Amino acid sequence: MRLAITVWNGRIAPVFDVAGTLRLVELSGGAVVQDQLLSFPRDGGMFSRVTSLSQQKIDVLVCGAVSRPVHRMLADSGIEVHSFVSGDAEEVLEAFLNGSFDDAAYFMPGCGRGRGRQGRGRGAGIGRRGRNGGFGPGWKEV
Amino acid sequence: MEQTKAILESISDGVFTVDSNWKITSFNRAAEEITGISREEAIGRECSEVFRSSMCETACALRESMASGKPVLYRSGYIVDSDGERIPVSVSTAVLRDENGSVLGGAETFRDLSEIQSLQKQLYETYRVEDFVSRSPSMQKVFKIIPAVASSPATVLIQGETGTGKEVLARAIHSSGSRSGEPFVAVNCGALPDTLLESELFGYARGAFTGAAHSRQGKFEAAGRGTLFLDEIGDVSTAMQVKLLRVLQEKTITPLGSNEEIKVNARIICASNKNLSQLVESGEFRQDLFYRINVVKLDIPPLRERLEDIPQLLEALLKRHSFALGVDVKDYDPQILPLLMGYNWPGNVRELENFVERAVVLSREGLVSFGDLPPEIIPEKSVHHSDAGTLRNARADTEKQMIVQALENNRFNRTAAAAELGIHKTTLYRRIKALGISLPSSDGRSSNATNTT
Repeated sequence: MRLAITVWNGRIAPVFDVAGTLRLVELSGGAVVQDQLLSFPRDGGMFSRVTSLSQQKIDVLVCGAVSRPVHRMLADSGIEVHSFVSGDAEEVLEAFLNGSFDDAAYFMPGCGRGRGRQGRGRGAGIGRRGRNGGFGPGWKEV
Repeated sequence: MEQTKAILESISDGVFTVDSNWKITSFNRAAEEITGISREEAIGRECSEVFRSSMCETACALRESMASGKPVLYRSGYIVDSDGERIPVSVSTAVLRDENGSVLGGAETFRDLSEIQSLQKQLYETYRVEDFVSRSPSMQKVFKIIPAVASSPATVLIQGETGTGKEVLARAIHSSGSRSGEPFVAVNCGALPDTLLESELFGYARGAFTGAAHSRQGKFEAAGRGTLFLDEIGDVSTAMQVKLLRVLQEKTITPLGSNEEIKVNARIICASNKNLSQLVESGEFRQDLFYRINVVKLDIPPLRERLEDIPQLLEALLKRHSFALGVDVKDYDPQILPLLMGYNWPGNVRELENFVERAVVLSREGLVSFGDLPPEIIPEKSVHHSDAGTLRNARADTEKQMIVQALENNRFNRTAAAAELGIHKTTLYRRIKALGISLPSSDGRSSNATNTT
């Protein structure tokens, strides 16, 4: 399995759409066989950003906030996306490797499962929840 | 302190503060509303994980303020909210210090620009009909009548120089009316000799001529209940004009080699790059056909007469071609805009579009710059700089050209020329003297001003 994490200053990069560094980890039989940092060009547009992940044959992506159209592109290219994740990149990777990764423990502020969120006056108002069954980011599924 | 809190809670701009470790220490009501994050969740968290902006990694205004000690104002970007919506924002930042001047952290204010951008978009939409973009007063008049024209079956005549967008306007009329779901068929009448044009427009029956093994539908028939666009109608022969007149009068066509009459249901839009009334006067165009097609006449001014459209066209064409070619060219170097505005564009919007397409292909840095301009757009005067030898001479040369141009533009009225150049009148006098520019004895206030250099 090939896992990619967008990183910045040792943490999960805040916004996938503009993230500049990708940590690429290849796992085989539960062991890390490859671990490298790749630069992620910011000037190529969203399509080339998603395409480059596909070309790297990424199976799973762990990242911070991601805009809706980009998430759709990622999902369409068959990548399992764990978005709106925050925290220390090493800790998140470790949790992922030992099978204890739980999105809820690493959700960015305002994206908590079942906690809802305050409206911005553009939608359903106070207490409005994410589109997918009340889960803020709700974008784990492919 | 309470008073400051009350003020922060009442304003519509989001405000948050951070400590020296980039952890959020306060988060006002507007910040909660714009981001959708409650202050309980925000306080104590990394600001980049709460704010989640496009600027965090590479252009953090707060980081800059903390490093320089100076405020950063109105930096634009977007944040991504929990629903994955990109919210455009403008941010300003400042350093927070205690009474001894020691840095406590930073403060960031941000404004949701969604509504402003939506209003800008609405404004932009008023300057376009389908793909036709224009803010010139003459085109605005045309835009106003398009809904009425589109919903009527009346024949339309569009006149304008080559490349002004006659077909684009014809398509806009077609798309705005009830025929939008039907075919739009365009024929360039000027490109075909009579015999070919006749078979193209009316079609032919099997065996109509040697080699006609199958019958073929003409464009009048192919357009069905849609629109038939006859471009360069002023170029058709007088014999062909008679045939067209008959079709327009009787609303039927007879394919070559056939006796069967076919009803014409299509709406006809004609266009010409020539002035048809002048062609009527000179006897080159039939008056009766002219009156038939001149039911609604729309004139498209050449691009040089609607310079105000150039920036919007440049922007729209850059987006279109960057997308079509799959490249990321975002903008134009502001320095080339005066050259683009100053060029005559004899080929009109088509020439402008060709320039943009070429520039998008050639541009390597995500920005259309001076090096991407074709030679005809660069004024000869600019090219002569290299003869001057030194940078000082080149600068003086350019300055001289600009001053002379401004003086000529304002009929040697020094005050008006200075205003155009954005300098004070006395500075202009000083530069005129220093650069050795000779002036006529009279200026723009008298009528007998003469040319000079």
